Amino acid sequence: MNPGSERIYRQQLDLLEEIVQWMRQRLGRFVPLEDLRAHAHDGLLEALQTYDPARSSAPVYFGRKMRWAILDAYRRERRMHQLRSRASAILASERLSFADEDVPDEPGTTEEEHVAALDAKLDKHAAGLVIGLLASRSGLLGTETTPEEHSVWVERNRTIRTIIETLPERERQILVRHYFDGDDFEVIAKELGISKSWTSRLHAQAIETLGKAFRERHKGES
Amino acid sequence: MHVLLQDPWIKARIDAALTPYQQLVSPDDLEFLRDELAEVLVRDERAARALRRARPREDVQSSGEAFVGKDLDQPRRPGRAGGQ
Repeated sequence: MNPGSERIYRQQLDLLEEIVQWMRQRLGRFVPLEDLRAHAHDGLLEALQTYDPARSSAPVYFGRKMRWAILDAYRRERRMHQLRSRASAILASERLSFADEDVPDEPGTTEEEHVAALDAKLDKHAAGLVIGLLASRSGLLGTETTPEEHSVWVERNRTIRTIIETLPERERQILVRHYFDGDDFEVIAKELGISKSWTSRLHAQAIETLGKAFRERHKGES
Repeated sequence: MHVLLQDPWIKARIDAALTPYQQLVSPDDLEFLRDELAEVLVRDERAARALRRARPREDVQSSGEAFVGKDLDQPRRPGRAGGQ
């Protein structure tokens, strides 16, 4: 490690510790701190290779890389269902934040419009969290502890798959490939012949469409 | 429970966002989803801004300002500055 990288590395160690504590709070107290530190450290080392100070501040960039390294490791976890599904859900929500765009505060915007903008953000993140939570368990069907639990998850899996099938083709492909097949955005982007950042935008759009479809379904039921 | 969920106005908005999914997730998962949506309003700079713009002024003045404003503008953990 060159002296410049080593200086940045040392500056991020306090942030690493904060992220480890924060992520443990979000993922569950049962997650060993040492494992979280190891994954965050992997993210820190990777970020050192790719960090560009002209594009992002160090705490934002390193913070995201460390959090995503933790989440990416646990979304592949196969023994602890809850940890896997929570990691997948949080990662979905964080990806939405990353791809999100600011809504300008135009003069004359009414209170109702501000509330609607807030609700739209919450609706989108709710849909992202739910698909992350539910789809990540689809690969584990058959490993439930009781037949009742299995039936419940088969039904939930069927519901979410049915709704995804109604989405536009490219949005559907991104959701299925990422959440059900476990493919990374890099792989999906390459196969679809689009950039990773465009995949990220399409993903956000797909989640928004999914959320609308869930709300329509709910309206139809109630 | 996330500290923002103590605010009834915020909790109502979060619960409304989760209404379509209540039959699809367990009570434990629903609690996790509530906490994470509240967390979005803290860690996501744009969502935090949307909350500040949307929050009813009378509520902010009567009860929420000290609580919501403090939490969003001065994150308890400095690391959350890197939350975007």
